[in-house]
Amino acid sequence: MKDDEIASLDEEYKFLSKRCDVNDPRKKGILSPYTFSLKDAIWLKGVETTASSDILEGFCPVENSTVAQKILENGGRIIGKTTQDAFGFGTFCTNVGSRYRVPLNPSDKERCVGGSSGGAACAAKLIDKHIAIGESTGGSITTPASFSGVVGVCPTYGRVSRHGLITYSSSFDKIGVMSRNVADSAVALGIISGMDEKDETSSDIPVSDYVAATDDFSAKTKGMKVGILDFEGVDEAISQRVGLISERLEEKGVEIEKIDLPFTKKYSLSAYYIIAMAEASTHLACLSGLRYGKGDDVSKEYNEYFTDVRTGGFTKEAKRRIMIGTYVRMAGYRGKYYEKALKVRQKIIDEYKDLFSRFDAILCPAAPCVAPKFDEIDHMSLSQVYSMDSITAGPNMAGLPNISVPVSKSDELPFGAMLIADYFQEAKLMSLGSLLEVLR
Amino acid sequence: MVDKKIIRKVATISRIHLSEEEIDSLKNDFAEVMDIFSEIDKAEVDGCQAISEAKTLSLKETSQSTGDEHDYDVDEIIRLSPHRKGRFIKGPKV
Repeated sequence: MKDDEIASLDEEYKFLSKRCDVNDPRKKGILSPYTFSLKDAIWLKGVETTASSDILEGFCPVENSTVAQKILENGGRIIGKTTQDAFGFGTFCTNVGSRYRVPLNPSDKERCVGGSSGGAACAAKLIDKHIAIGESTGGSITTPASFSGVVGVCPTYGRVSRHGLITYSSSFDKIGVMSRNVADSAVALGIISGMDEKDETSSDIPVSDYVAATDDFSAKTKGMKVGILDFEGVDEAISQRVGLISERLEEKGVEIEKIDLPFTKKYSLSAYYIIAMAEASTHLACLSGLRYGKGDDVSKEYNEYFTDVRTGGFTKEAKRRIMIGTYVRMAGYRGKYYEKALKVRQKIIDEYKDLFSRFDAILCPAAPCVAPKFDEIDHMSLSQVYSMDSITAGPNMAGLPNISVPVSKSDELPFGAMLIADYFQEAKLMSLGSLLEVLR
Repeated sequence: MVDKKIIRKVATISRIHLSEEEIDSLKNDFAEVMDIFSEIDKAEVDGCQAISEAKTLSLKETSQSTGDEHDYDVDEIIRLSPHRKGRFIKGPKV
């Protein structure tokens, strides 16, 4: 797609926070046929990178993130940074900094694209042969992929290096990929995965051949065992469609069985928000307008300077999460909230491990509803907004890989089905995801 | 119940100024969110370890050194600061 066509799409749907054109003309490789975009939390050398916030205005990284470096070394061309909820704090990509535009859903401009990797989902949907690099903390790839009608892959925690990622919550954050189909996601994920000396949480477990996993997927998935997981509060049409897809999987030789994860379903949302907000409040403590980002009048008194920078630089939602995250770590509350949530997390992991000793994957809706309209979002309570993550909180708490594949009918607003697999079993997700694509 | 006094204390620790209107609004937000959080009071977690290390999740046996792989240009990094004097970053008076 030509640059002016991309510019025209961006003008209409507002998904880019910054346009650029970065490639290494000496490099030709498997990624040469594609254009790429990076979620705005991911460093690209010399290009303003703010996580769509105001407080990091003017911050231009002095080196590439490992993901950006790998894309460029394999022939990819990066055409922009995509808009997100500032620092990833949001479900609809509406909590953007004051300098940024809210992306519009490609299927209906009165609806959101989902968050927080909303601009990425929009770019993946609209630009031909494009791979958008997103990031998920509690569902920030799966949800926008579902709302926007694209494939979104959130890998195992530690599968992809996070060197050069502006942190939301370090024990959750995962960089992943979004594209129009599973095959393109497989190509990109294979390149960006792997151990990185610059990220000590990256794993040295060998990277599987994800592209091969998308070949002959019918044979590869025959005999696999998939657990079907229902959730309360999901739109009837979505539940029915996912049920129909599971019947079609069974016809293709996939073994299907209804399952439940009672502990995870009951406690993952609250535990997720406690830990994520606690971590966010500590990570964002470094943002003070001193070493980088937006400054203030330096003649002010010490505390006044930092407080003024932070007050003016954070969105309302960022302030709320920093405040609540600080509260749950304070003496007197830490044991009740933060430490208890960490134990809940262990039990959630154990529940998944037990299940994956018997199943290859879990199938469930990717989101409880289709993309809401902006005026509907304006009238949602805080608990209604946060409960949008009730399906995705579980796998993100456990650090498990998951993929959202569009399964809606062509005359419907888009929604996805989510597959979750055991640690480092992304290849299984690619095979099963490829099968879902032909069954929808 | 989180009262206004606690909200003000948390705001001071978080280095965020709040207007009275914002304090009122956050008081309601805290009540709503703590209602969600209190759900875990009922969770039975006897014998469970508190997972706080990200490494535990990535299933690694050993950590690896991040070494000294960074090859930053110091001047480039200093240029990122909003206030500079020569090769120094300038900050507010302590």
